Amino acid sequence: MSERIKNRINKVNILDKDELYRRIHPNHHINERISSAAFRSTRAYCISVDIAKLTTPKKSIGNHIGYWLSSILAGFVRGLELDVHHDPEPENYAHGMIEGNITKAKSKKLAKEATIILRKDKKSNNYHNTANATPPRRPHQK
Amino acid sequence: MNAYSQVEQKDTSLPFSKEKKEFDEGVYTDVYWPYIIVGKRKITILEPYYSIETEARFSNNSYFVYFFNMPNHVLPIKTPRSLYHSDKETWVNATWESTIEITHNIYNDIKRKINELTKLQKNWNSYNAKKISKSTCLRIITFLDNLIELINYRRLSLLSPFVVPCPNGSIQLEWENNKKELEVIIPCRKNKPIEYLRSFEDFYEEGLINSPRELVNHIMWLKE
Repeated sequence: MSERIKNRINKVNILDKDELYRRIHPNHHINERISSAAFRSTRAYCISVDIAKLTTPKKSIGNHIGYWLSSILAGFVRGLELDVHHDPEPENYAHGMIEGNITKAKSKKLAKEATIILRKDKKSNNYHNTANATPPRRPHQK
Repeated sequence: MNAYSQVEQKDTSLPFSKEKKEFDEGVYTDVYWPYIIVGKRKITILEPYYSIETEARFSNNSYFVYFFNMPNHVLPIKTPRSLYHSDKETWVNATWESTIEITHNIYNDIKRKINELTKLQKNWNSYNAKKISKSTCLRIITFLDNLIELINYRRLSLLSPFVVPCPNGSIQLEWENNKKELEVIIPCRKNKPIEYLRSFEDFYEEGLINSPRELVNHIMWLKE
């Protein structure tokens, strides 16, 4: 049986309390917050994520230097009338999809709600785990 | 020695009226008193300033003041000053804010950031993002040219936006001020409209921007 077929059979249910990981490119870091553009895709109706319970933060962020790893609850995503489901890929069993009418406002809400849990330092290529840190606040601009 | 006598000693050829304490219209250099024009109106500053080296433009409520030859380190940015409004024949409090210099610096910075985005390769965000094309960059710079021209004409100041690439090849400008946020998306396709999103706490509004004038209105909303 091929890996693709195996993956298709072994899809898991995503509960509201499950976390979803999304990598955040350095161009989407604005001070200590995430740009809404980080929660948009080449296609208007779906965004790729990793299902946290099927992977680890380090594995999810991979070798992407300078990236942040953000986490958001599946329940919050569903509250925006978006679908969340497990969508395993041949090289990434933890792959999931957020699907639906992803408007600019919804991307903005996702970005605001997401918490940065890991940072891959550009200079030292080290990981900085911020999972227990206070969620980043938007700087107050005068 | 008061400021009047300093001016008289500096340049006796200036058309300066000691009684009225105001200058006639014209261009002056090395002037100790600030020189003010608003169309054909004459406006006098109550307190004297030292000579300035670069031209700056200031706004005070609905009218504008020009200063010549004043060094920036003594320039009172955003400091209340009393101002005599010759039309209204009354003294008013003024808040000074350099507009033209700030606008030009921000624009050059934005242009540089936009051009840097063309260096992003395909899949730059690890989620199959498209490259940002030079034509998209050119389109946004042209749009900004029109915006800057309109801002200068209306003597407004431009807040500095963040320049953000979008995965579908578009470019997004983001402004934030006092918890209000404005996003403007310049599309990668020529025939697609420019879109915006305004947000403030639980308020979200999306729409299209059909002209730089509409964007100026949204920027004004940010600054309210």
